[in-house]
Amino acid sequence: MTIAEASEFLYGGAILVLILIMFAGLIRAIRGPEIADRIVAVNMLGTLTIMIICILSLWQNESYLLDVALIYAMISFLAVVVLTRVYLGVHREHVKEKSREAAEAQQMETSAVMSTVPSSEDVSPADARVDIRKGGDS
Amino acid sequence: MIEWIRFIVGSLCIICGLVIAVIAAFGLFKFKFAMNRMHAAAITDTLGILMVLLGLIVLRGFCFDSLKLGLIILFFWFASPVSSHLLAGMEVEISDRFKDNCEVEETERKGGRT
Repeated sequence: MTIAEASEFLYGGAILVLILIMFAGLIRAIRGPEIADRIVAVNMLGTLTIMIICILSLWQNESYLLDVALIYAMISFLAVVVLTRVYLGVHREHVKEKSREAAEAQQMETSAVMSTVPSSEDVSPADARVDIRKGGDS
Repeated sequence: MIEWIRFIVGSLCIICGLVIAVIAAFGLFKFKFAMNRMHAAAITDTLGILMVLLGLIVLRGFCFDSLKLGLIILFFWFASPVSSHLLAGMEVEISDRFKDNCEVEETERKGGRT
C-alpha cells in the first residue's frame, strides 16, 4: 500500500464523514424552533464546507481552491453578521410598532373615558345632559 | 519512512478534527436551548477546523498553500467569537423563554448591554 492509495482513502473517508455531519446540520437548520438555531446550524454548515473545500484542494492538487475557501470563510462570516443585524432590525421595528399601537389604544381608551366622565368646568354636567336629551328628542 | 510518519501524523490530526466535528453535530441535537447549541457548534468553528487544517498543513508540507491554510485558521479564530457574540445578543433580545433557561442578574444587564 503506497502513500497515494492511503491518502485517497483518507481524503475520501474524511469528505464522506463531513457530508454526513452536514446532513445532520441541515436537519437542525430545517427543524430549529428559533431563528438563532437556524443561524447556528448555517454557520456550522459553512465551516464544514470550508473543510471539504480544503481537503478537496489537497486531494486534486489544485491550490486555487484554497483561495475559494478563504473567500468562502469571509462570505460565511458576513452572512451571519448580516442575518443577525437584519433580523434584529426587523424585530426592533416590530416591537416599536406594537408598543406604539398599544399606546394609541390606551390613549383612545383614556380619552373615551375622559369624554364620558363630565370633567369640563365651563359646561356644567346638568346642561350637557339636557343638551344631549334635546338633541335626541328633536 | 519519514513520509509515512508525516502521513500518519497528518491523518491523525484530520481524524481528530472529524471526531470533534461529530461531537459538535451530536451536541447540536442533544441540547435543548439555542445558547447551548451555540456552544456546541462553536467547537467546529475553532478546534475542529484547527485540527483538520493542521493535518492538511502537515500533509502538504511547508509552502505557499500551507500559508493560505494558516490564514484560513487565523481568520476563523477571529471571526467565530464575533459571530457567536452577535448571535448571543440577538438571542437575548428576541427569545421569550430566555430567562427560563439562563440565570440573568438584573444589575449586570442594566449597565452592560445597550
